[in-house]
Amino acid sequence: MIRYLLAVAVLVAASCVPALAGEPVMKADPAYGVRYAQEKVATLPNDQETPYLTLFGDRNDPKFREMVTWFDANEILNGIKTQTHWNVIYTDNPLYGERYAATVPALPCVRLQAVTEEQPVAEYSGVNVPMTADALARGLNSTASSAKCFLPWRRNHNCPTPSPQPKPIHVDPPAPPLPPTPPGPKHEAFPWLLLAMLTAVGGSLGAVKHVRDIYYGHKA
Amino acid sequence: MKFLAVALLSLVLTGCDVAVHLDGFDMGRTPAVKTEYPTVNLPLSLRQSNWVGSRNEGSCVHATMVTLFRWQNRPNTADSWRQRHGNGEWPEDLAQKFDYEGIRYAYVTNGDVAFLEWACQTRRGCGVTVMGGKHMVALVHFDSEWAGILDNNDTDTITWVSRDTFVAEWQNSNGWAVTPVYAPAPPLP
Repeated sequence: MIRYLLAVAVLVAASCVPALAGEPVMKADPAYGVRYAQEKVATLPNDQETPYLTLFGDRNDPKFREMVTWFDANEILNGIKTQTHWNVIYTDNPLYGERYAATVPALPCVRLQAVTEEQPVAEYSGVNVPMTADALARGLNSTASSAKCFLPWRRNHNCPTPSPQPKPIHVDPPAPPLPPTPPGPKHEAFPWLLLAMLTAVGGSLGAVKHVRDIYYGHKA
Repeated sequence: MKFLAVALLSLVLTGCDVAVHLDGFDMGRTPAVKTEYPTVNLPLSLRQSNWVGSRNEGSCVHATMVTLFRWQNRPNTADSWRQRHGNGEWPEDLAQKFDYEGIRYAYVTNGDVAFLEWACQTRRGCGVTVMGGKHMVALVHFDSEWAGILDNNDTDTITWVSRDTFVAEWQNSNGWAVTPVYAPAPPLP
């Protein structure tokens, strides 16, 4: 009996040791040596709706290199960058040549895309790229504002807030009450009755004349 | 006069019934997004084939990661990974390597289908185990009906299987799925 209890105690202790030591429970696959550990918990970004901001260009192009720096230096551009899927795709990246080259009108190119729109929300390429970071920021921001229904960063940023309401500066005095309107001429109703009577008289006179002409003859 | 005018107008307009029918055109069902099939639509030349490592083992996990690095616009990481890693891999070891190199990643080993949905809805794709857990392929599409698989042993074709079939295969292969977490390649306009 003592041996039996001792054996049980040893088994229990042996099964508890790995758990106490904090080791993960492993499932071994002896054939391929693949081990599977416990779950790693991570917060997955729910960025399905996040817009895409992409720069296409030649890494040797000074204009393009300058544009890349704009997105760190300019506050608005940096704000847009951090709230989008930001990609810089160089022309020597095979991904550019095989996937995007046919869709880029000219280099360098800035493209802003929303997942709910088939066409880019904004695109500046070649000579149409603004000369300064501020101009590009203004351009992207104004375009985005018109599309703010689906661009999340516009929902809560840079939108005019309605309060506090500005005080009115020039207030006109209340207008004096209008003078009472003088009684105008009475609007006379159309004399329907008179018209009917005249019509009846005229009709009966004509009828009488017609009867006289038929029964008593008309003297030429 | 007013009465006469109204009467005249009524007479003129009688029989002018305006009816416009737009048969076969339902604007409410016009899709707003151009959907790519598969979602992770990587050009052929960027799909990494499997290679034999220094221990004479296949490198399916690393090949899948290289493919996903390229899709997530990390060409330098992809090339570097291809040069420095190889052979068979398992979740903990891969996680250790990612941690060591400061690579953002996410993975599950419990066969949670929600992870696959997340990976493909965010257009990132992921590596998934198949064949009882001894092989890894890239899941490049996953919707309510279909799963698209890019096998690093045959990178020319995307294999399409029904969603249920794929999920059963994956869950019977230890249910390991892993992906780098960077900005996915932008959609085509």
